Amino acid sequence: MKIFTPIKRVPDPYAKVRVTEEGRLDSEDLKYTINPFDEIALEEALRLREAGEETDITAVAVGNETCVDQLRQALAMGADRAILIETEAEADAMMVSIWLAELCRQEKPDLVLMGKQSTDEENSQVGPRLAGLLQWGQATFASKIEADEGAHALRVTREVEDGRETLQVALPAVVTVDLRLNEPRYVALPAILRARSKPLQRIAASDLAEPVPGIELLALETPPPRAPGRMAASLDEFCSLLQAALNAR
Amino acid sequence: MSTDAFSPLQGGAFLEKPPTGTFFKELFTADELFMAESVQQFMQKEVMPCAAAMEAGENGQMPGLLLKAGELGLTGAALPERYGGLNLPKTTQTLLTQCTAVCPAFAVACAVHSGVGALPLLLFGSDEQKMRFLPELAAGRKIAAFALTEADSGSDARAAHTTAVLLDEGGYRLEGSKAWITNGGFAHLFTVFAQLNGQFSAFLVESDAPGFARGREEQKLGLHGCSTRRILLEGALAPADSLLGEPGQGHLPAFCALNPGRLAIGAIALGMGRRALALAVEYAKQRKQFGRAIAQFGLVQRMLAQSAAQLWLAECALYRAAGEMDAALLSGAPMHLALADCAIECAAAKLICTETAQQAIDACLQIHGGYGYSEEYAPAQLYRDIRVFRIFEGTSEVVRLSLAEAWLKRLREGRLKEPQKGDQTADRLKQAAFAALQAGFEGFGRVQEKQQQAADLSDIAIAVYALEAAEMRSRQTIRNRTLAETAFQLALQQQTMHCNVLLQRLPGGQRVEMQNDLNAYELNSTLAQLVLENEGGVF
Ligand SMILES: Cc1cc2nc3c(=O)[nH]c(=O)nc-3n(C[C@H](O)[C@H](O)[C@H](O)COP(=O)(O)OP(=O)(O)OC[C@H]3O[C@@H](n4cnc5c(N)ncnc54)[C@H](O)[C@@H]3O)c2cc1C
Repeated sequence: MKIFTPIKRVPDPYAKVRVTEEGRLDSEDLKYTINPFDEIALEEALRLREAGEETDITAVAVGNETCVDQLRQALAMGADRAILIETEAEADAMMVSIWLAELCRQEKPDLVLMGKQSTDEENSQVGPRLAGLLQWGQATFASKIEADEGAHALRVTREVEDGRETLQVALPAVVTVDLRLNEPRYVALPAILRARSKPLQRIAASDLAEPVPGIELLALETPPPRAPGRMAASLDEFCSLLQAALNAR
Repeated sequence: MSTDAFSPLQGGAFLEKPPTGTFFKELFTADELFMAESVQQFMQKEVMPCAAAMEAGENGQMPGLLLKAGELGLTGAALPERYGGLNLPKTTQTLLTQCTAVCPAFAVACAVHSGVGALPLLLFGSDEQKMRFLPELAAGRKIAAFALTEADSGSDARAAHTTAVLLDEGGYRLEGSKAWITNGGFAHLFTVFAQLNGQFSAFLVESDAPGFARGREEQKLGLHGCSTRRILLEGALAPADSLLGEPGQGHLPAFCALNPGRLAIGAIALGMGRRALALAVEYAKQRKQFGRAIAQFGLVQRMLAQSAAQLWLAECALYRAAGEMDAALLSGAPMHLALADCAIECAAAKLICTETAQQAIDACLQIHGGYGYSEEYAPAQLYRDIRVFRIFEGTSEVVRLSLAEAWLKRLREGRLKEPQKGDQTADRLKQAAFAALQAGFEGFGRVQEKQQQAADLSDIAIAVYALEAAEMRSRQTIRNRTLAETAFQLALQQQTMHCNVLLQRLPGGQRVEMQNDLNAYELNSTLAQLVLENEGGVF
């Protein structure tokens, strides 16, 4: 099976982010990582391989040269090769989906396995859009993925409001993964050294497609600090405080 | 041991020349940082779940953890690829070792195994000896220990009483006992130092040798999770190929391996100190007294600021030393000469890291008040664990004296000269220290009779080494630039003041001028604010 695992470079979700005066992310002091959801997707691809399925795993990133750090990380985790779709654009979800779709048309993976969302913008857009553009089946928010024997398909369990839902998706398909799917491994140090010499291909985004941005980022702002909470002395006081707050709206 | 033939070796050159560059943490590449992250995750997922049980004295888990560290690649980080190691630069090794400091007992066990445990063999072993043991050590399948100290010979290690006798039928019989041996409870391979016909020599002794026995676990103040035992050699038989290096040359493996060993000890201490600062910050923010978080009190802020500035300075010295050791290793000189050449730098790094960490941990405990004195909070264990770092791999006293001794020797032999003039504080301190050396040590003679002066001169050398590194780093770092600059200014003031006290009492010493006249109170509170904002600070 040929698997694509898109990898997004995001600010470390535990880092304190600051906004510059120009309303952009202050990236100077910021540490970046692989989007944790994408890391889980890559881990799942590795587990499919370890379960016996012959797999070829390609990590794909969209962005500028800085994304190479995260692609090398993916190679160290166990991806066989990496592709960087190079662009300096502040790409929105649609643009990313269009580039990924074009790459999928050329490279024909059986499965695109990716995070359900990225921790920086939390849009949950790229997976479904990509499936739509490719006219492939999709299963989102996966908490369990099994190869369906014989059939060229996967059984995917997803957590939904009223319990669990199990879908069968025919391949090729796009599957987006949730936090509970697995816990990514820590990478052995020799694998990090070996990743330096694994193949990493660069493709100019403009050679794939020239999408028009649909969303323009105007400015970022830090939300005002939240007013401190108040301790209510009793349930009665709590109820009347709640009522007063609701009335004030 | 002469290093003259290898002119690129520059050990101690900082005492003469202005610096041309230094390694500092911001120079690590993405994959080196990723390695550090892997080690952090390994510590959280594999080691920390066992930490409490190990602290309670069950060190049965340590061999299993070292095996896992072998799978991770950590135990082989220093060894060449042909033995299954990773041959990482010292800078990267230092970073990884620092990451293990969340569990000091594991950190020490691992550092002793892969440092002083394995390095004598790597440096002086024959090809057969190396092929036989190093792959096992790199993989963590066999554990190594370093058996130098004896009950009656600690700092004076060459006075060891253990003897080795060459047997007619071939092989050696060893008689004696070794004390304080880290990993003693489970190690398979011991580098044992013994007198062979009255000559100090090194042997590779396996734990299954007839006549080899382990003593009981020592009841220690700290590092409870780390095995420390006596090793009893009661006519222990070692095969003919167990001699390591030449007879009578035992001091070479002992002292060459100690230099990287001291870097590792410094790295663990620094990691512990950094953790103490982070704990102190967290506690100071959340503990309220007199209606305010104690982090708002000037005296608490001063403790935080001083810990931060000194830890920052120690970190600069540590990574500078690691970088210089890498340069020496790449100089083309044989590895043992390269390592031996870094004696002054490693001594400086060990001293500043272990002593600074001790102070930072003390401050952390103080900030925790009564809770700091309770074993239910983290500072108490840190406080117990850090204490031995000023004792093993050379006591602070012995390391200070050895630094001064090496400096005098290099001056005596003409390998170092009078320091060049310059207008930085570090340049002035070098000149002032040199003048005191000339006045106090005629012909750059030996330190033994003037230990107090020698130790004071070592302290100035250490300050110089660290300040130069910090100055270069604070000029170059991009991340957290304000933090770096403030920490540098504060450290500069403190070190200059400290050195001036020493220079005032040293015969021939002269005080140097303060380079900045920034208000020390304000510097403390500015740095404390920055440290509080950065949660103890990735600096
Ligand atoms: C937990 C632990 C683990 C250890 N692990 C190992 C190990 O794995 N392998 C190993 O070989 N050893 C190990 N050691 C031993 C350690 O290296 C020694 O304890 C240390 O070198 C000091 O020796 P000593 O204890 O005999 O003290 P001493 O040498 O007796 O020193 C006592 C005091 O006198 C001072 N002193 C000694 N000589 C001088 C001098 N010339 N001038 C001025 N002051 C001096 C010292 O600084 C110290 O303050 C370990 C020790 C401990 C506590």
